[in-house]
Amino acid sequence: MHELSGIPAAPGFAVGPVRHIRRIAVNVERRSISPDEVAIERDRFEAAVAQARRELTALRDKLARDLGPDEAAIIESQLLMLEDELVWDTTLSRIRTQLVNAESAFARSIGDIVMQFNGMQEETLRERIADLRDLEDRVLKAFLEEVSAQAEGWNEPAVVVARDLAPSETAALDRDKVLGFVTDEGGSTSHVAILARSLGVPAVCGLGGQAIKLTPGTEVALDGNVGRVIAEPDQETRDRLQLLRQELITVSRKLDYLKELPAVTPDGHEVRLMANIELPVELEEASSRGAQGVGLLRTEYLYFQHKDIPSEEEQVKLYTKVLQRMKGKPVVLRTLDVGGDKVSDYLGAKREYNPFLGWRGIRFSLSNPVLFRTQIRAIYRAGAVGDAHLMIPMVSGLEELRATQEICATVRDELTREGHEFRADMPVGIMVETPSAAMVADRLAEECDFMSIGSNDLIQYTLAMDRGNRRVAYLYRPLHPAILRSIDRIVKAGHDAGIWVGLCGEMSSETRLAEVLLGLGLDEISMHSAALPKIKQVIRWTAFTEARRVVDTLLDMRTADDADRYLSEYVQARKDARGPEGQPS
Amino acid sequence: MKTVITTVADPVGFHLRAAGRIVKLTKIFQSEVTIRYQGRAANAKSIMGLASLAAEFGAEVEIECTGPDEDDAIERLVNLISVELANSEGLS
Repeated sequence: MHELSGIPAAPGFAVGPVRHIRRIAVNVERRSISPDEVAIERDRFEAAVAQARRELTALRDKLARDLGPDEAAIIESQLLMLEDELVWDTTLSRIRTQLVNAESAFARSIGDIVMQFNGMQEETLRERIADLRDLEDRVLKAFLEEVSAQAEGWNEPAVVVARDLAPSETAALDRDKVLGFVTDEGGSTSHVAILARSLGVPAVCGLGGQAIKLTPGTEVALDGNVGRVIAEPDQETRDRLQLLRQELITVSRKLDYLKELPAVTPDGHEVRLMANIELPVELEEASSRGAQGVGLLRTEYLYFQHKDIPSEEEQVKLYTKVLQRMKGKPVVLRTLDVGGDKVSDYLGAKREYNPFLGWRGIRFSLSNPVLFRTQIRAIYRAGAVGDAHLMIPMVSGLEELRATQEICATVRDELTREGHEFRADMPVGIMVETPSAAMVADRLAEECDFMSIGSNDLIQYTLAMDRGNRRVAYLYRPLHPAILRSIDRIVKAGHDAGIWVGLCGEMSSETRLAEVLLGLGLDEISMHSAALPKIKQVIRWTAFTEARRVVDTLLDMRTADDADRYLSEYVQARKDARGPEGQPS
Repeated sequence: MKTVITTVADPVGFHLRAAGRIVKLTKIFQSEVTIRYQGRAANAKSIMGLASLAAEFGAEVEIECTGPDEDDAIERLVNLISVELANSEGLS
């Protein structure tokens, strides 16, 4: 038994066998072959290259069509590299003369070229190493797909272990077989964390290399509340965590009764409680927890899942499916939010020195007009079957809103002309997550149909703290007076302009903050599905006037510490008054 | 065998896109084409070989063609490297 500690990314407990999901190109095993096997390895190499070529060709054509020849040229270069004698001939000759397996011969060839490029002075050449690595990944993945196709099925529930998991990798997981997640990279706002919370399973991230060392098949115990992973736990630890897990399930069953009840305070103030959704697989969870709609549909996964840019038809199909599943309930579709921590190479978003202040969100979309218009068209068209809302991320001023509205107007004209069905009166709103948007929220509110506060980024930008940096993580304080004032101001601005204001960041799912959000007057709170019942419970127990009084007190506090202390004492006092479990009324 | 020295007109030198255009053109011909720069040599049908020459704007490179269509090949290559690449707009 030994303990590892990481970042608590999703709460809960689990005990189960380790199941690795290996990210491509983690390590390539070198295997000796006999002279008879040379032909086999050569065929395998050719098949993998052919697969990579098919993918690249499709990607190039798509890029050429959607973005123009410049973007396609990058892929064209990769295609040429793939056929290059330095790759092709040296790999084949390595297989033949050194009698090694195809993937290791190939990886060595790439490694040699990288080394050669690395030794050069020219910056542009060294940048090309990224292209080479990308190519390497693609070919190795083609080898891997061949392997995983042969791998046996996954029958037993297990704890999923990986270096990191991308949406495309988690999309294929069978949710009934996932007990929890353990990853080396990522933190509480990573994709895995979001998915885990919405599935209601624990996740521990940021183990920094220790996760992939866990032996497949051995038992592991997970405490997602504190971020602890216990490898090969003893009986006592196992029993304890199993018991905690069971208790958690019991408590959540107890809250089941809330599902059909409205989120109304005893004094009649109603709040819409919505679900944040990233993957279609989460919709079921959202409905079963009584979500009144989808307050944030992240559309990135759709882009990341595909190796190339999804077509308008593909997008229409997917958004339509989501809207139909939600049966007329509102669904807020957030347009592509790449950049920052979400980089997709094929979209052309590159790693930047200062990604959170860089080319992301609406900035990225507006500078890729073809891509953006395609998505807007798809959302309008899907809107024909349900209550679709369009929301743009990372707005920092009116210009971006107006530019988007112009595109929307053009799209409506086009769709009318083309005779497509679409939702002509679709509300167009913004995410308020930059301090500048918060400062001019009154102006923005006059010209948009709704506003939703993205609290993760609003906190990060307002407090000037990088949420991925452990050294400044202590600055992440939702109750900082600057944050509370900001939210208060945004809500008032929205209400003055007669539009609704919601909040869809992480702070929406913290029980102790539910009362604060209620008191701030938010019309809608959107969170990961698993949190819906407990937040609803708080709202049904708290008088709105009381919550407002708490908020007024908090707004008056000098420091985040003061605010935290006040709220903790207040919450404790209420708990004491109510009794230990808090009986449903 | 034909040999010619020419000047690289591409403002950023033999970067990947320029190299890609050279490879594409060379593949049309049957001749073997070698490009040399500062003591290094690369097969003109190898995009990475060319890129690793790291020939910059204004560099003088030597083109050597051997084969049945060497005259055509060398003429087109010189034109590409010393003229057409000057307004390099990617591969198309």
